[in-house]
Amino acid sequence: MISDFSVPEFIFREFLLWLLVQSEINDGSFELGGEFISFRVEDQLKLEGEGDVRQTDLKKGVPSISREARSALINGKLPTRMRVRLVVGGDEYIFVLDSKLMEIRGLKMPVVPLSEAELRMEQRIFHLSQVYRMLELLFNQFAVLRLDSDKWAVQVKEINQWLQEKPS
Amino acid sequence: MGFLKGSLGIKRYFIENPDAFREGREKVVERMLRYQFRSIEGAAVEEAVGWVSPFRSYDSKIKVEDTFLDSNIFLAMRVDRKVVPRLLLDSKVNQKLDSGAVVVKGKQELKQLKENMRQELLLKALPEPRIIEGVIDLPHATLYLNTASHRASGLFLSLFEKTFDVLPAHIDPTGFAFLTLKEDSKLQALSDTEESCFHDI
Repeated sequence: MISDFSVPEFIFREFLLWLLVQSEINDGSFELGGEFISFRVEDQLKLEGEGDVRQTDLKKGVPSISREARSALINGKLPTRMRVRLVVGGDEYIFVLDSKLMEIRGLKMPVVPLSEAELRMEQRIFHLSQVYRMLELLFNQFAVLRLDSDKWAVQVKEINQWLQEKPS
Repeated sequence: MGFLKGSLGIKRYFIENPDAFREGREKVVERMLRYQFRSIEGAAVEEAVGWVSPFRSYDSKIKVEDTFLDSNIFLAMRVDRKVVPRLLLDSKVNQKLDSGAVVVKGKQELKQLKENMRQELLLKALPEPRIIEGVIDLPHATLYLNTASHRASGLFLSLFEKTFDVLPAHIDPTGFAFLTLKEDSKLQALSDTEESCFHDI
């Protein structure tokens, strides 16, 4: 668990940006190990970077496709926090993902219609580990691309093209 | 709200040596009972921290059947805190001084008077309880803490370490990457990567 290395924070910001753009390009659909999941940015997006205004908070509406989000990204800001909706099989999860801590906040999980505490807890833990498993699979997919300079160049081009598009 | 219902704010920790939890269920509960919660109602104590039953926050009698749920261990830490408002303390001290009941000579005596008054008020103050829940997913040696607060998680980990002689390691972003990539070489490559440019094109 203890590592000699420290992964810089920008990697996690780039991960969030990649998730945001890929979800917009592919209508939220990701293939993870043969399974299709849906991952969409919801009504909360925080972008941070250098410059005169260092933080842009977008709430309500659909921040991911807004002019404000693209403008902030073009000006060098990257996502540091976003509320997402993840659907795996029939299970839906809503949570806030933070690039600085890679922690999950405000996690809403499917209702477990069981009265017995033991079974309910088992289900809740299953859902919790499912969310982390999906995030790890997504990060793994991102890391494979990020560590291959040719593949990452294609991704950067795709992201830049998306940034230049006019929001629909 | 809690682990069993409502939304969660999760901090994740890795338990590198989960031997303490394999000693047997009774032994685990025995360890917890050594640090069970003790009420500070009617006592001049500012804070109390200890384990309670996950299903009955008023009950310090922790039972095996409440704690072990299948392969998970359900923990609940109760923190009771009493606060004496500064304004109340000052006004009580001034009232005493103005009534002539006490005469203080110098700063030291005034300090002592304030401290005595604070103790008196602490005795009467009602504690504000807070429950911090944690679940140990034993097969994955992972502790999930349901709190976003650094202070609360610090208190929980401190009690956890005293109780079980093991301090879980926080899964920070690098820990998250390590768990995902599982290889030091990949982690090193990621650490050496330069930032991409998505702007000014």
